[in-house]
Amino acid sequence: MTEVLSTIEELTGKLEKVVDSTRVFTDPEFLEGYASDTSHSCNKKPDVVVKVLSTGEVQKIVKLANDYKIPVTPRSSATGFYGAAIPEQGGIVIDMSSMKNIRRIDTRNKWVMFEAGVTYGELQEELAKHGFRAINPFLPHKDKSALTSTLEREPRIVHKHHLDETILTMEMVMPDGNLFHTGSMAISPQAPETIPDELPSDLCNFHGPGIDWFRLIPGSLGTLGIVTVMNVKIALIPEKQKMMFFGFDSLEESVEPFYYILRKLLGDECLLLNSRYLATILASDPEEIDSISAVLPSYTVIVNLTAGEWFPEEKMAYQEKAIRDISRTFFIKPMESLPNVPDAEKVLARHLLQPWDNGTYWKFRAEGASREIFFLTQLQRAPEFLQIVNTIAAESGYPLSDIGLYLQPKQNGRSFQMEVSFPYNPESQDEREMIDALYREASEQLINKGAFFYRIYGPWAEMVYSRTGNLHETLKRIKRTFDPNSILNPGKLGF
Amino acid sequence: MAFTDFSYSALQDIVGDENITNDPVLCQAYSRVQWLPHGVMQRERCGLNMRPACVVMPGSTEEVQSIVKVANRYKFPFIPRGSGFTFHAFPTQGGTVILDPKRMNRIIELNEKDMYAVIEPYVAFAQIFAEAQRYGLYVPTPLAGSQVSCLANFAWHGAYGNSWITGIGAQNLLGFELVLPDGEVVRSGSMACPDAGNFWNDGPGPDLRGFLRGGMFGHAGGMGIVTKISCKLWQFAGPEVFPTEGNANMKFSSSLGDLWRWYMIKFPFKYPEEEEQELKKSAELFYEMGKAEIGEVATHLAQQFLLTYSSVTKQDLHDNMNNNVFPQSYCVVALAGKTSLEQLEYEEKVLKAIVKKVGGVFVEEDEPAYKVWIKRAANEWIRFGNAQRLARPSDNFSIGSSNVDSIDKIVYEILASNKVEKDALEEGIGKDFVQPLSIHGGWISPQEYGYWCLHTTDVFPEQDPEQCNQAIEIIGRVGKSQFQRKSAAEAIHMLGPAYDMFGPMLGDVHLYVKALKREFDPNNISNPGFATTPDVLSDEEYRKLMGGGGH
Ligand SMILES: Cc1cc2nc3c(=O)[nH]c(=O)nc-3n(C[C@H](O)[C@H](O)[C@H](O)COP(=O)(O)OP(=O)(O)OC[C@H]3O[C@@H](n4cnc5c(N)ncnc54)[C@H](O)[C@@H]3O)c2cc1C
Repeated sequence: MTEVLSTIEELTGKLEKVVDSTRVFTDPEFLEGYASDTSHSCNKKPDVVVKVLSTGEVQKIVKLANDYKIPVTPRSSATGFYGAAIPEQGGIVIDMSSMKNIRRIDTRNKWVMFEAGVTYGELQEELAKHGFRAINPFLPHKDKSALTSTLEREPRIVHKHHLDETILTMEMVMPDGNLFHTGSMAISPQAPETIPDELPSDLCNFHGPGIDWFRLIPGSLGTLGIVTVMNVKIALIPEKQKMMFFGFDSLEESVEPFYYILRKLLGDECLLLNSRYLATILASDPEEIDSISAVLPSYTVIVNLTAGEWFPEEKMAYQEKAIRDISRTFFIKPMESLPNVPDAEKVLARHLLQPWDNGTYWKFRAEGASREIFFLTQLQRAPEFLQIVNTIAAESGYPLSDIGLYLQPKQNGRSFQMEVSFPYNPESQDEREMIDALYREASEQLINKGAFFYRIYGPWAEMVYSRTGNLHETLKRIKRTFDPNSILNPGKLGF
Repeated sequence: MAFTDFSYSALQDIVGDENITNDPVLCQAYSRVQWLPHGVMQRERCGLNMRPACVVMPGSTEEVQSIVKVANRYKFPFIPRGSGFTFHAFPTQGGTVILDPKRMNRIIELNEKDMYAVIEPYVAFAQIFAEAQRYGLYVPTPLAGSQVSCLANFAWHGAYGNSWITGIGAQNLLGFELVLPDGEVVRSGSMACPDAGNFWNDGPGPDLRGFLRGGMFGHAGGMGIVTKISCKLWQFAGPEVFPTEGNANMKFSSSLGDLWRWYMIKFPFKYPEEEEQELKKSAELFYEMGKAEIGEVATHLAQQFLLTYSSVTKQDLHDNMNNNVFPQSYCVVALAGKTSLEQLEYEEKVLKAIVKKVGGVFVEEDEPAYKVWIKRAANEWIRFGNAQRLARPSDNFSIGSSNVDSIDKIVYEILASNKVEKDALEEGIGKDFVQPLSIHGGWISPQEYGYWCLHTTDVFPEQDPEQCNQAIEIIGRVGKSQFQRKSAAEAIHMLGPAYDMFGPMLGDVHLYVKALKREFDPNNISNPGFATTPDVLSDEEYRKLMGGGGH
């Protein structure tokens, strides 16, 4: 029979037995910081926040939570997005943002192992000392945990096939409080804090044990386990790089050349931005966004050609020739810089590797906040989906020129993450309501037409899973099997 | 559990008379497991119980679903079958029904632009390979041969000749449609969403591929029946039609065109005495190629592999052995001009520089090794049109050791497990196998530009219970030594009783997977015993099963 804890004090009393009391927080003002995030999508305070420093502490808290059936929501970033770490049903938030160790860099096997609280900025800085880089998403928030970004499957800016799935092994706490290691980390059941020293494996096998946890756990938003440490693939920083740009008046026109560039395996990084999104990044001051946007091509494909240690000039030469050949085939003009925006290529080159470091997060620069819709599609269908977004935005009275668009190829162009963003003023009640309605309506219609919402946040769970037959029930059965007490992040994904 | 006349007539109603049989002669044909020593022992152990009670050929997902529902009503076991190349696809108890997918043989979609195909269970690799080639694309193919089911392979296993780019089966599976053991249908990836297309693998939400399969093995038919998958296709720099000359065994393929070049690289060490140095230098070559991100195929082939795969008859095998055609192991590399001829030329220049740096030597065109491998066999390395070659030495074959980790650790593992095998040989275990093929070297298959690596070493017992038992003894000893060394192999080699053996040391993973089996297969009828039994095995059950249910 489950014992019942009736007061917060009783709970904190128990927690303080497993974690230093200075890291257990119940002050309402402090808890407020965990009640909402940049998405402004929901608001629920936890009953208590515990800042943990180790996997062992997480384990003890989850066991305790099971004993008393108290919800636990893991959180690793100092900033939240899309409502994923808001404790919808209260309870304990386990804050892992202080777990800051970069545990090991293996330059021979090209991986880095780090804890949940490490950000991309910290990771890149450390890796650069060894000539390596992390495979980051495009311009992440400076406070975003690299571990959760990976678990949330934010698309990587490097579209190469072998870097699409970067997770190698993971240390995690299962919903029952059991310590669990995935891939070859599983073979050495050591105390969590001593991993990975003296391991007989190089931790390069990400499969198993048994089934493929490295796939089942990501995308589960902390509902199937709490990952505290992982090692992921990294890549060498190129010796040479050169950015090439193609401008297009319409998205349709970009489709065939963009496909072709990817089919020819050109560019480590390759992406498409509309003028609004690109201007948001390039403007040194938010005031300039409109004017820069006005002089940029409506849609720009950015291709970053790179070369490494061996004969870099020759590698650049064959790639540039291939780009010229493609340009002739499609009657398009490759540019080495952006017209009317001096040094754009330099600014962008720096941004490829780094989190946003120029004040207010870039997506919020224009209006103070933004709401994003993102999904996967085949490139050939992107114009159709943009049309849907534009139509709904127009009907809602949202200015089309404010919409940001970003297309990120994955797996050499087998698929593209399409992101549209609607900047808005968070202080205005009217705008908030309008954006909420627009977001829901556009999401619904896009899903109806076959946009593939693969990362599921907030209301998307209901919208998507109501259309996917038995999938949700199957996932719920898996969830029940591992988490019979429904302890981990309850409410997310419709669990 | 029972298969009765009622069961039979219920199945007959679903698929029609012409698609079901309990004719003992036909059913006997479905019990003919060979190739692997475990299969031979399974035949010894199970005898007539390996003959299925009936074979049924569903024509659609709906029919599969109905069959599974009937199986649950009458509680008889069923096994989904691809082409039946592994022993896991064979009954171990009487009253089992085999689902033969012959009627589900369509390539449903081949999407050139987004580089994927949607296929049914009976589509062989050969079929999809030939079709994809017409669009400048291809699929990786297992050494088992391109006659096997592509779906079965991607859903449960998958080690390939050109994994340097493509990874294993797990990396090639996109979406899937699965009839769960209780008869419910679930779809995963973009296939799950109406009108989204079949192009993508994970989501919505958690990636169900993680539930369906593991690194080396999936559930082996123990988690229902996959009725459809979408799979990746890859850029192919070769021609639209696979060029071949000759017939049957004497069919050879000489050139894949101007944009494809093969290379054989050797290191100047005495073989097998200096095997360790040779393997370490090969590792260096792969690490450097990985850093440079060049190449389409990069693999290290042991002497035994080269002899086995290149031989067109048994006589040819023995001639090549006697003539010492392959005096040592070699690295085999292919470069492909997927961007342009200039890119191919560039990569060749880099490869030459790397080979020089690591102290390797290119095998010359007039050397016997080059003539036999590159001229006759190399192209088959990417499509495996001649699977019998695998068992050329003895009509049987087994993996002696296998692991997945870094390239360095794989080299270490090959040396360590070869030592275990040599020690066994000194005791006389395996002394009558075709020797010395089964002792030296190993197949090193670096994956995805060498970020990780797979290896196997092989043993070649005859199809004789005595020899097969010895092979299983060798595999067991290697497994035990891997365990003592805490080799990463344990995390991947989980299937059948191995879950009970290794699970307690691996975070109790067996308990989680058993819980899934209980949840989704409450009557334990989907290839019982796989991926694992619903409950923890007693000592006695464990001993019984280790006689031949594991790997
Ligand atoms: C000599 C030899 C060499 C081999 N070499 C390789 C190799 O290099 N690479 C490699 O990957 N494999 C290899 N294998 C293993 C195996 O044969 C292959 O993986 C092969 O692809 C299996 O395909 P199949 O069509 O014969 O499947 P089957 O043997 O019919 O089935 C394999 C497993 O999958 C299950 N299954 C089949 N269809 C379905 C379905 N629709 N839904 C759910 N489960 C299903 C079966 O129950 C069985 O457990 C080898 C085997 C042998 C005997």
